Amino acid sequence: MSEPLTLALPKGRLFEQVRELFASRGMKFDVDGRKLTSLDESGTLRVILVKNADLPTYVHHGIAGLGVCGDDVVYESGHEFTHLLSLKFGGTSMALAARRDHVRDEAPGHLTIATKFTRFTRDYFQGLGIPVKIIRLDGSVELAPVLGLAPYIVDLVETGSTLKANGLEVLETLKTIGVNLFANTAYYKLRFQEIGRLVDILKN
Amino acid sequence: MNEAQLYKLPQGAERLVLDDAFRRQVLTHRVQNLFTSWGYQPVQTPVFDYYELYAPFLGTHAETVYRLVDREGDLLVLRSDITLFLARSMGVVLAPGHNPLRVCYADTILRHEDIEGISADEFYQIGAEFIGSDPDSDVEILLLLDEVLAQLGLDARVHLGSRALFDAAFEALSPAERKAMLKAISLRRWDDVGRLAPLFAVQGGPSELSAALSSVPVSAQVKTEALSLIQTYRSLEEAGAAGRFRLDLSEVGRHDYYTGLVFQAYQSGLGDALASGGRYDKLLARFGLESPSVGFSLHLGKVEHLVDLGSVPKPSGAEKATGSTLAERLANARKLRAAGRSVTL
Repeated sequence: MSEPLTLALPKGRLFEQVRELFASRGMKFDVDGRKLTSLDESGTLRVILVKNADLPTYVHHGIAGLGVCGDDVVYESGHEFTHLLSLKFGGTSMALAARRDHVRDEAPGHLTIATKFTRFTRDYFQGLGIPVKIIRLDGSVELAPVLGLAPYIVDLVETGSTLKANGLEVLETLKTIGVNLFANTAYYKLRFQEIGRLVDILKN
Repeated sequence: MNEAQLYKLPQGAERLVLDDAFRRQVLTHRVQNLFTSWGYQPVQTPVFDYYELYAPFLGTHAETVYRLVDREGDLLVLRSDITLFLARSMGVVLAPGHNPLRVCYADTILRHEDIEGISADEFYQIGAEFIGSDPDSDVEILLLLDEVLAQLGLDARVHLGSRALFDAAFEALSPAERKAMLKAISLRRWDDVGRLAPLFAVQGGPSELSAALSSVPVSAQVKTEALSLIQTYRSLEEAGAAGRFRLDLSEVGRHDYYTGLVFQAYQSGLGDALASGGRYDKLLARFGLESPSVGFSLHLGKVEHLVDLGSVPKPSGAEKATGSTLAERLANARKLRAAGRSVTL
């Protein structure tokens, strides 16, 4: 039997859904709070649990061969991976939001935006030819317009309830964000047969 | 003196000392000896050259090269890609209608990489190129790469693709669309590739590629290129050396100067290809010489730690010569050194 495939999974909102998906296909694994790696019961996968934002780094360096996380995280990392499968859960969108009562008072063609997604925001608005000033925040981004740090934010919006609770509204949806299973490109080349079988199992 | 600068290295600089430097030297010699035995002659390219000459070929590397201004005010670029610098050198040295020339090199390159790149191990390249017309040159370069990998004791796999096939399939696309398509194919995002996806998804041997060819309608030119790739593989088989090779049309080449065969070598435990290469028939013409060319380069730094040096006597483990006088010790050392040992006086 060959070595199990290594799969990095993000701690947090996606983990349970990914675990259920694999469990429903006969690959049960158990990773609790302290144990960060686990071999699934069928011996197909070695699962490594890492912080969401670090996941692309582990896969890029081949420490984990496979990974699951959102497009947003991969984009921010700047790394590129071999695409394997789009998962049907965890979808969300990247949106530009502001206070419901906001009045556009900045000079035309200029935006100040607070966001955790600095790379995406810069590339998106540069692509439109709109100069932006970006203020990097690590969380609770919706506070920025409320407290007056920046009139606009770019953030992931699922239901919009957090925005609503803070008196904000979506001005524009910028991109649909999906969750994907992907592989380090070199790892894929060496183990494409096993990875192909895994993808087939997950697809059906 | 600035104390802080003394202890750090600029991002992208590489320092190799003592045992690590010795290891590189030994491996370089081994590969160079192999090149010599195959009739490949060494070439040393300049460390810097005029930026303007290379600008059109840098593509996405343009942001990563180091530029400087010389005393006459000309913009220079530090060597960032040996294939390019070699093409420029040979373009000047060779005359039209020259005989096929086999050259090899081992040199450092300089490129800025951001922190995530941690690519200090990519800055030393060793490689070979076949310049000139010869129907067997693609196969020769692959066979040579195969021997280099074997010499280093690696069980790397080499995936073969074709930029010519890609060009034939997507000649109608605009430059921006082509770029997006190259990326979609190399990252295997088949939803973005369209009806030819089953062809580019092929990985395996000639039978897999033949099957894919008959499953999707393709132009005569695409078919010709696919058959040529199959022929290359068959030649490797006939030479009894197809073991580590696979056909993989998602290999489309990392550089836009490729015009035919492209390939990359992968080794278990490495997150990226350790060697890459291909055919570039139009590159030398841009530097004044109409001549086809094919070659590869290998990032020796990436694999050094995987290679077993065997029983090479390291200078760091040198023994001390015996004797009560310098003359005696010298005589003793000479005897031991003649037997291949490393000895200090």
